[in-house]
Amino acid sequence: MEFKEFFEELLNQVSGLAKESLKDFEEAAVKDGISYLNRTKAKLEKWTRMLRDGELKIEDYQDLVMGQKDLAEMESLKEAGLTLVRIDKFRNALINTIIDTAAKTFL
Amino acid sequence: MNNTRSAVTYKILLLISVLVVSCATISPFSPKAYENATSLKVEALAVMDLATEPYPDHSAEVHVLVIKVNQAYEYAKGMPKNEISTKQWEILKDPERHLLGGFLKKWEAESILLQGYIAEKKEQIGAAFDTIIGLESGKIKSKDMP
Repeated sequence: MEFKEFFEELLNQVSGLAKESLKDFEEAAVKDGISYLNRTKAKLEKWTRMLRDGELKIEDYQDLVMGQKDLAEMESLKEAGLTLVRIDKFRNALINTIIDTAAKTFL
Repeated sequence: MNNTRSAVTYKILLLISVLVVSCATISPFSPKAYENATSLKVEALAVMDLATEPYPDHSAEVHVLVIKVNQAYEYAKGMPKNEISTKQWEILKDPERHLLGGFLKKWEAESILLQGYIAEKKEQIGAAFDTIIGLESGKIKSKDMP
């Protein structure tokens, strides 16, 4: 087998690999976002009730709401980091595919 | 001749593979970083429970906690390609923001905090620690590296 054929074989495998490695990512990100919004909505309702009932001071309420914003930033950082992990995993799988295919083709 | 060319091609591909792997975009899983985050979560939530009592009675515990959090932050910061985890620690510990650092500052300023507020804040700060733990545990383990 010549290099051209080897490379075509590799491209076929990479396409399958990408679908396998990244297929659930977009769906999961959307699902996480909706879930996060629902959780925040429930918290805001609870804190508003606690404020009305005197279980929270207005400063406490403000701090909790601002804290939720900081938490959202940390959640976003986590998702960004996990996306990079997925990219690295994909790259590692790609390397294994190159080595395996090359070994089968040339050795 | 053909065999020699194949072997050379294979070696070149191996070399490319090694170079590509060395260009990872994010640090691999660190057991030490994971341990830092999980143990500090437990410790921080336990210290927060004390905030119904006057801050001066527990300033020593707070001081120890702050030092440990700073150590965990410095550990994260010292790891290559670990900017995202480092940023998470920065937000968590910043006294000018509204998670652990902000909570400790508020406790010191007000001396005693309301039980309801503490309970809600513990959930929030626990979730903040979980984002650090979740990212670390999702990173690639050394056994899964090619």
